[in-house]
Amino acid sequence: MYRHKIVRLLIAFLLCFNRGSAQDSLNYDALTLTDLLNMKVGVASIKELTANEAPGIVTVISGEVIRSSGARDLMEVLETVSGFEFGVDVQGVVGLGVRGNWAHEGKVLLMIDGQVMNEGLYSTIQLGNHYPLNSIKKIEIIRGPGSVVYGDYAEYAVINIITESADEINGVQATADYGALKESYARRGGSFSAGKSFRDLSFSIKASHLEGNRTDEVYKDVYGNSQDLTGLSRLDNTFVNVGLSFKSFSFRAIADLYATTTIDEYEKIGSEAVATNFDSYFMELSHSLNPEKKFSVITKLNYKQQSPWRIEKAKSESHELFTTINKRYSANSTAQWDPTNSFNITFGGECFFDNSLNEDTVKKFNSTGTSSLDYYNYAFFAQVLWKNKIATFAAGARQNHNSKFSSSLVPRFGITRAIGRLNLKALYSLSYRAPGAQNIDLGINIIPEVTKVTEFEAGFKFSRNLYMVVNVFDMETKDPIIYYYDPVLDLEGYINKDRTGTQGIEAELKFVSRIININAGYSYYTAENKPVLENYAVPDNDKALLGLANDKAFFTISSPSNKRIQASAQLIGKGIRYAIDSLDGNNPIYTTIDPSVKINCSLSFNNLFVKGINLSLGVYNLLDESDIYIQPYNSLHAPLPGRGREYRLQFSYRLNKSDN
Amino acid sequence: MKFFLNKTINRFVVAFLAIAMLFSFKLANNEDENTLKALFIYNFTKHVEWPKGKIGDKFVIGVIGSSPVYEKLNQILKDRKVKDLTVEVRRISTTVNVEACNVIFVTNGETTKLKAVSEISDFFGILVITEEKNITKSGSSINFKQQDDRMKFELNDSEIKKAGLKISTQLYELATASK
Repeated sequence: MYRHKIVRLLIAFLLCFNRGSAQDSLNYDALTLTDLLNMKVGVASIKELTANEAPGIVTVISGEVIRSSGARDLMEVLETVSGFEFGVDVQGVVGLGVRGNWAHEGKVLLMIDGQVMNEGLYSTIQLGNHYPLNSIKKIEIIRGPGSVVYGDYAEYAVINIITESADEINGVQATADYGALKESYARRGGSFSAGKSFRDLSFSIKASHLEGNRTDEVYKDVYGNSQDLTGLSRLDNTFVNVGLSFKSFSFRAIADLYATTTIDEYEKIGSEAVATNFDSYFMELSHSLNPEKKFSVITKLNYKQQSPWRIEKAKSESHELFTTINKRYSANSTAQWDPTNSFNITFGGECFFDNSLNEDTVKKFNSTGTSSLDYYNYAFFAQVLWKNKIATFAAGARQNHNSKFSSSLVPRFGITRAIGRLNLKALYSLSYRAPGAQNIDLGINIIPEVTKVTEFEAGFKFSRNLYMVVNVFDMETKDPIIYYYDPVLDLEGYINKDRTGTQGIEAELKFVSRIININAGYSYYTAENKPVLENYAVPDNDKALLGLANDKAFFTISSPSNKRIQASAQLIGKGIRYAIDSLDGNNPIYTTIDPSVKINCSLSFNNLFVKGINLSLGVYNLLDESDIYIQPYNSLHAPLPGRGREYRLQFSYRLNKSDN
Repeated sequence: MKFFLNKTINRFVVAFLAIAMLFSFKLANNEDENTLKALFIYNFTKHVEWPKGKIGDKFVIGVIGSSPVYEKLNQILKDRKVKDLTVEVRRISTTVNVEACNVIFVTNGETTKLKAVSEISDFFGILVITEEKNITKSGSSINFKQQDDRMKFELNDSEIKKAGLKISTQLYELATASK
């Protein structure tokens, strides 16, 4: 009891202490120039580390770069990120591969304004005409693990989308989009954003509705059947993001309604296209204590309701009705303490209660025998950053406990050092993927998989305009959670397999000037020195994994966005890939997919006739190359065609009162 | 046993608070670079006289480029006045919008815009502040320069005059170099 009192007193004292210290202790009005000249310059708060200093392999893409690139959804932005590639899963869904590893289920965390977009049943994110780009401030990408701070799903990468605040919008924005393929439209729709602050109150809304088609080309399944997919590969998304803040409280609500139609099904083309819905709703109430001070605490209460992979009308024998709803109630409190300007300590805890419910009460969960599956989870984490004259040191760990599977302890260590124009980083991390509700239910004694990642990075600033960064990585996943299907017993499930992993190199170059901006990247992986799972293996090739090219390169060039006419061009190249495209009896036949090059161009006319009105014209896949998505695991889905040449038109209007 | 435990805890608490106080004392004499720059900018406005008619119904400070100085300026100037006017700190994305500002801070990564900003500032009487390596870069009126562990500033008299600004003698005296 006595000890509790002391701890409480200590915390109260420190809170008061930190309120009173540092910036508040200065009377700004009384400071003279002489006072300022006599002040020592401290190291900028470690919270403001740049991408070069941050203990992670980081890519930051600004909203301005996204807008000038002509990209229309998250997937198109990720095309120009080193080490990221795409593959097809099932039901018309395309997911991410990272550094040669299929990362679709629970290995990449996607957040939009702090909301975790991964669905709670299989932990996937679904790409293609999904996650709109209107009013984006920036996208921060950690091309590596982030479990210590971000927890579940941050095993291979973290994609953190930050949209513009009410202050930054300070007016209205609207866009209208249309894209045409040979036989159908690629996308059509529009978006609207508005934001305004009134003293302590600020409000923003970003809404978009986009209808699209994945392709208008012909799909051929492994049995040799063909199907024209025109109008049968719909990708529709309605997205609404509302933010409200008052003083230190803020509230956010997001509705994300995504729908696909698919006829390619699992192996064999179906008789009729089937709609799959992914409906998600997010709510968050958060409170910031001392956000600008040396000791700050952010506390969040979240509610998330998702109904992913929802099939309400099964029109084919291989599709079953699926109407499971997943609800998650969570709380998180994270404290940041800068005891000095060279130390930053982040620590906190979070817990959630997860409830999955079959709307069709006849359908039971295997693990419970009822139509409901519940579990809870709690975690503690801490990370220390110490910036000194020698280097910036980072050390942290996260301990996770779950009521359905075993605990995980994942540490992280990093050293970053700047020597003149040279930046160096050495990083070592463990990260984990927590099983989702369906992994638990269909799993056999399923446990979290754990990935060990070692990374080294060197960046060099050749001049004020030119910067280049190169990194090497080694990653290996222990106990990877793998889907299996036994056609003889008609049984499916999840199981922990042995190990899988890759090694590789990634390089990025940036050139910024008054006339042109260039962003280029190259990435390479090999599985040669790592254990390979049969499900991901390519026969007679120990370097490549199924579906994901060993080599990827991109080159983007654009003129500055502040000009009246702004042009940009992108070139995205992939090396040889391997796919299963047919059967020999019951055995899959592997085929080689030739290297491909995709060129995208766009031309924007800014402030056309009226200030704030922009017109953008573009051609996507100018060479009309065959753009295909391969299933990166052996489940007998043949390569799914993507979009051929697409002509695009976008009108946008931006009224920002701050710019007047 | 309980006595010893309590004594140990007490010692720990005293030691912890002593260290925290030491840290706090140190903080009071140090400000990070971004806060210092924001404080300097606020202070410069007290030493500069703008041409008549060039300041509207509010005093506008623009920031070109992504820099924590923007947040620091907002934080410091919230509820404060410059020239008896309310202050608005704006992020400026295109040079066209520079003309509405009275002070413009061009961050390190945006120096390619400096020439265009300078042309506008001459006509509209705008104080241009930069954080370049030296002030010989044309277009800047005041340039921040860090020497050892202190923040200094340089003046470019010709740019100040071109913009029609008048600055106090004290500002001249405190500048490390004038051109």
